[in-house]
Amino acid sequence: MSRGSQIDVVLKDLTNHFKTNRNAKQKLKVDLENIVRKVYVDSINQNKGYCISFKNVESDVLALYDSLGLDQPKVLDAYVKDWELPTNVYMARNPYYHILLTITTFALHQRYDKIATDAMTILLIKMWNGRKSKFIQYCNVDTMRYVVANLSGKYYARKYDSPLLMISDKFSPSLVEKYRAQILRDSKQNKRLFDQSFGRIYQLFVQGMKPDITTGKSKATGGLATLYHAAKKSGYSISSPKILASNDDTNTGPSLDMYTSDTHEESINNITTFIIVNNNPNYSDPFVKYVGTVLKNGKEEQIRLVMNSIHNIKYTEHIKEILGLMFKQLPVFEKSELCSVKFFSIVKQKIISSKHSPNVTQIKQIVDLLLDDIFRNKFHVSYNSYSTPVRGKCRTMIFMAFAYNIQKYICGKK
Amino acid sequence: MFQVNNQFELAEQSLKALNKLQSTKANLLQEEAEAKALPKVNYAKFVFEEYDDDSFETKVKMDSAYYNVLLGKLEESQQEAVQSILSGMLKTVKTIYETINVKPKIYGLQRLNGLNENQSNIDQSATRIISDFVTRNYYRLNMEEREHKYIDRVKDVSKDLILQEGIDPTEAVKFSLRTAVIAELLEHINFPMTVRNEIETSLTSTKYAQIFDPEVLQNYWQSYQEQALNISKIVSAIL
Repeated sequence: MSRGSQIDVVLKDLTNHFKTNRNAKQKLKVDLENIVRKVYVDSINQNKGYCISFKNVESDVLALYDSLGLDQPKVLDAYVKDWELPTNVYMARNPYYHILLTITTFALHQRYDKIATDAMTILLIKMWNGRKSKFIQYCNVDTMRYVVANLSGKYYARKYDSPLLMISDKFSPSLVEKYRAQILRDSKQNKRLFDQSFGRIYQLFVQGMKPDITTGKSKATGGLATLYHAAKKSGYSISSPKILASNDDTNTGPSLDMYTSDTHEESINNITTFIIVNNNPNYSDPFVKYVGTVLKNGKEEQIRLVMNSIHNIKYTEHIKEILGLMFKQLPVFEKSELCSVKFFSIVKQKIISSKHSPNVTQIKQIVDLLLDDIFRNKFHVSYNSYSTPVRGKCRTMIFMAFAYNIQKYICGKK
Repeated sequence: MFQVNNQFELAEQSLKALNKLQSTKANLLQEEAEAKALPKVNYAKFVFEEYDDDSFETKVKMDSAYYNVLLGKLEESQQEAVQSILSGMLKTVKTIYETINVKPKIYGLQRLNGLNENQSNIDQSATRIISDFVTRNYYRLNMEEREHKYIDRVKDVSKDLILQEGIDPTEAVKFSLRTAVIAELLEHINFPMTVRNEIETSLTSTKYAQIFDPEVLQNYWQSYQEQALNISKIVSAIL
């Protein structure tokens, strides 16, 4: 720790608090996780993609001062002195940021990496809210969806389905890692971490500043906000995901209407029943061969065994959950597409190959539970002892089986 | 002296004890084998992400720097011929990655900023890595060490050269050694060490074979080796 730093005095207070309270670490960890979870759940409910303004967690964050036994004015004073802050700066004097930076700095000293990254995530979501409301005051979800879908590969937004995932999986760990050494040498250097965090979020919205030759002023040429306003001006957008039944569809099978939540639930219940009552399923040979081709070296007998295993009443809840999440994840398509071979490619692309979507992460967890039970009963081995790549291939069998049953139910064929 | 009955009893007891000892030993060996196998499985759990096409595309683009160095000295007509073998080999490499479902990894260039890196930096790094590899695995070794290291790779190629092409045995061995070094380099480029381990695990694990067919992977692996050997022969001819 650096000599004479006021932030170090605060860190010393925090260290004493941890020494006298044996559960302090666990409590702090849980408190931060709860805040992140609260924001995450709310972001799922909002379903606004990159238009989101995250849930305000100000009171939860400020409550950390009390739970960590820290005096808010004393912490403010430490930051004002160490960072040499003038009186007219707003952000850098905000106690919300101070407590989170203090926690991050302390966690780095103690090697509590998870605590450090969670604190940074909470810090970054406030910065996101600030920049978002500054640059895109009224955000149209469909226009933003168009912008994100057309971003080039250099944008992180292209790689992560939601800004929260981008912040928690990419920005927080990389910022913590980048400034770890500097902060460990001198705690005051958490100012750089703060500035760079702001810079990261700012750059997401506006970047590539170049002088405009007509006005002489600097103008952004890239970033979400710049592209959003350009798309808005041109009227570009992508409408929200729905599964549509084609008007001219002559197929007489039951159709999946997803317009209202009631019919959505009903469809899921019907397909679930369709799967569980069919306890002697007959997956067609060409289909099983197709799955074998997707897996490259799947054994047909084992593929059939795994797929047949899901037709069991004890998996009713798993099946319902998986179907619900699959439909959330699948994009706009017409019934004619759903009833063609293309449907399997869509499932492959949007679910099997998707890595960063919260929906997919959740589906995979449920499928893992299902496979764990199937493997124990049918193969007498632990599914969890297989490596990530192998488990990924096993999941593919399940997703394909679901796609097959959805198609069979809706299109009434095979 | 023991009575006959006692002797039978004693023999029976000895046999039981021996069996017990052997079964304990077998259990211990099994546990030991499992303990040895376990870190490998866990390792793969943490090291690997699942396969995706974008990562393979990035790998091919980055790896092209290696191929530019290796094939740069070929004449135009030769380059055309090699290009078709190369694209065949890359197709097989992709299939292998898809089969083991592992996110493609890039050899030696990880520290660079991916495709955003300046091309001349990528080219320089590729040249340095190739040069280091060849120096370490060929020039720094004496003939005996080279033969010892590459015996498996050398014997078939040199045998063909001697018997079918009538080439002088010493020259044939020298050429085969150069081919072997290039083939090994290609293997490192296409499948960095952790990926090779995963391939080996998939080929040998009985647990894996319970669900998937390792023979299919074995066939892809053999095809890859043949294609890589063909490229290595061409490259080593101009080295």
